[in-house]
Amino acid sequence: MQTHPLARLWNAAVWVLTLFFLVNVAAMIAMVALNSFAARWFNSWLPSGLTLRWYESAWGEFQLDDLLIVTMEVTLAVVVIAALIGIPAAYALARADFPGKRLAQVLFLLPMMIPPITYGIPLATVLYQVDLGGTMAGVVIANLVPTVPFVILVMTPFIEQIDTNLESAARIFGANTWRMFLHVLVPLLAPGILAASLIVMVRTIGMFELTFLTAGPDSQTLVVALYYAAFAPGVRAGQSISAMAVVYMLLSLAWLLIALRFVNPTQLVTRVKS
Amino acid sequence: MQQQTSRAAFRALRLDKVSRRFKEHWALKEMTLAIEAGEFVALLGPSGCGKTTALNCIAGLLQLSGGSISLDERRIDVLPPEKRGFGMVFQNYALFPHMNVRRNIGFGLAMRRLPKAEIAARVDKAIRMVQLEAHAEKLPGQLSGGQQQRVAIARAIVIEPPLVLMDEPLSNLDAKLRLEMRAEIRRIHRELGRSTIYVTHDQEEALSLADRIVVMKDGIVRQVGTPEALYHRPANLDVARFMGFRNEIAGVAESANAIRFSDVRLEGRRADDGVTSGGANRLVAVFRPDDLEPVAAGPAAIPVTVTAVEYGGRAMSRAASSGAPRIDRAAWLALPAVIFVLAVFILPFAYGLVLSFTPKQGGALANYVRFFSDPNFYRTVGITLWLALPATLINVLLSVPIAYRLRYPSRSQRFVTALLVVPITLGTVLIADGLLSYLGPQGWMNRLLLAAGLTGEPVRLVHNYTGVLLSLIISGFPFTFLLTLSYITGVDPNLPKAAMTLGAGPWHQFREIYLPLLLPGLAVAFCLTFVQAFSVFPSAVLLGAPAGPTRVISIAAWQSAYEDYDYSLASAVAMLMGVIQLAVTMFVLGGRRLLYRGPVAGGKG
Repeated sequence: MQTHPLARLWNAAVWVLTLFFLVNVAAMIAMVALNSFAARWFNSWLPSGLTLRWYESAWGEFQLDDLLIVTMEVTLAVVVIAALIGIPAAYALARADFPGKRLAQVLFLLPMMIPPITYGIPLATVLYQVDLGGTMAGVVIANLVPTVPFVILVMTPFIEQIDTNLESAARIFGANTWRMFLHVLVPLLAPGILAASLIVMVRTIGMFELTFLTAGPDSQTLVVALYYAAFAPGVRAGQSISAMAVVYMLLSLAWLLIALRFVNPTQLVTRVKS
Repeated sequence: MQQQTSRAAFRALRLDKVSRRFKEHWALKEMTLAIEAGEFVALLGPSGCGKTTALNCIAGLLQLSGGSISLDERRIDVLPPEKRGFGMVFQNYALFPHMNVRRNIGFGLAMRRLPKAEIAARVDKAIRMVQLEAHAEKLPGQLSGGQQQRVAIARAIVIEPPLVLMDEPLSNLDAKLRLEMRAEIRRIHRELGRSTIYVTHDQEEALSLADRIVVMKDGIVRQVGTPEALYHRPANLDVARFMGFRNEIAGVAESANAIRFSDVRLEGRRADDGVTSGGANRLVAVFRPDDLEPVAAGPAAIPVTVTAVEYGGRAMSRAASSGAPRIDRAAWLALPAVIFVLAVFILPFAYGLVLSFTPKQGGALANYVRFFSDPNFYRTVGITLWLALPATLINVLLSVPIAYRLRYPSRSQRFVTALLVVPITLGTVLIADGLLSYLGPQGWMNRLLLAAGLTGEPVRLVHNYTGVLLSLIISGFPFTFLLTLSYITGVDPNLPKAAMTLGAGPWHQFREIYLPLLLPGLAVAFCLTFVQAFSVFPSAVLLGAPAGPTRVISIAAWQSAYEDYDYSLASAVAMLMGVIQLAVTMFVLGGRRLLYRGPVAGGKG
């Protein structure tokens, strides 16, 4: 079937636009990566000479091993707790009817509609009042605010599409609630739980605002440390900061790659149904 | 051009060795068939036999892998569906959910740019024909399944197509309604005499409706004939099995028309193609259960033992689903999450609200008075809006064409969407840090501009408004794009197909189907992107001029709390941020009320 020349022109324009965007993002990332290996880079297209010593210095200066451990501890805690709180709530929303269900749905949607910096400041104030500010627990709690609703939002439609007859069948054949849950629901929910956990993981590693507002010196994650390093340039060599950025990039991209094996990219953003 | 395709008169539609392959699998193999004007032809076969593939090839919704289709002497398989001018009725109806019955039926006529008066007259006539006079102004979602199917039929026939294509139109209806609609389709065909191709897997439906039946299996036409011919003289075992010859006896061929089974000789009619499985002289005799007659034992009788009895009456109603009220103990499972959100989201918000009205000095409103009287503060609102609104608008306007281009799942779609997720995962801090070097005076962007001679000296792209705007576009675009894409892929793919068969070209498919269904989603995407952009923080600090032109509202809030330790003032600023975000969201979503807001899937299917 023939395509109209105007349509072909339009298609080409759309592709060029997409490509332009992607090339610029790629070039931006490439420049950071290249800079981290640059022996010297001044007033030229490419650095003169490559070296690994910035990684060594970054590792020492920024205590990257501590940062990585804190980041992973916070992330794991957030993933596990968000799943434990979020999945039962998703089950309730998918299966049960109760007074105030609409209200609960709106309640769970609010933290996702309002950006972190808006509620982060009052939240941090409250956390400092109860002596949780600047602690690991405080960082975890703050990060749970958007992730618990996120798990609920992802899991509710997933549970809805599981045939209720399967649960009835399990009960008729003698399974109590716990066994029904263990033998029927958990295996069926596993793909959804995996997807939700991976997305929460990727989002928590990259969550800047909430961690920034609630973290103390010992509870900083990688992305917050990167901000502080970039905020005070000149204190440390630019290449050192780039090396740290690359470590952060590798961490988040590794998890993104794992996540993309199991989830659709569109799931990484919140789709709010009206 | 439009006129000639909708002309009803033609002599024959010819399919010549029409084939269609999906990867390695041939869904349709060398189908050859001629359909004459006024004929009602049923394509019959089990699921996966290629009948729907054949129909979609005729409609133009699938391209051929081989062969040709012609209407009289004109080849039509090279035409897009909207130029073929056939009417099509879809299995799930594919009614446009945002248009009322009248507009749905008139859609094909509007695409042909007929005068309004003529459209109205023809739509009225079609509505009377399918007896929907009382429902003309309703939306499809307000109609029952049978009524929706009537609309779908009216929409297909009102354009007076030379050929009506029906894809299992009754399979979503319950048994009683199916019988009624069958009679209805027969009546309409008799009244209008339109050539019809009707796909079904129900042999009863095919036998009762069609002038001729095409039986298909595994992508191959197994027999073409009148209902009587098929019913009484199936050409082969597959057709016989499909036509209700449930009993099979394998025996040895004795003559052209007889087989021997143990010591019984069975005589009958030899099928046209006597494909055998167990050697050349092995044959299978088939007969219907009601061809047998119980008789007393004797020389002409075969002794049988009855092992099972099946009552032949037909169950007309399905088992009702259990409507017993459930005791929702499961509701308690939501309690931890509710308490959690109340404790760490609502409570801090309320606390912050109270705190904002208890300033360090002055009356309850002192913080707010200070905010609106100190240019350092009130200017931040303007600065933030001036960054967030253009960035959001640009992102939405970029997202729509790109997401629309990538709406069908494909390798390139998956690849591009995966690439676009990267900026989201990298986050605002890394994008700011990266842009600082990429757009800086030593960066590749400026080098490129200098090398291309577009500028004499490095352009200042960072530490100003431009830098922050660009970072907002880079971090926001993937977000907006993915939202838009998920809304676009949520549109029932049968709706644009239906529009195509009614004569809508690419532009009209977008304008009449996708855009109206997408607008509510776009409003949501705009709001979500906007609130993100409005709370811009790290890039405004790192890439902008945080003391001046890019001192956004979140910087003001942060400085009050973490540099001046005035939590009361900081809370007031945070509350104002929330209020402004809420106001913009309400404004946009309020405008959404004017748009269609029902389900985006077609009908109940």
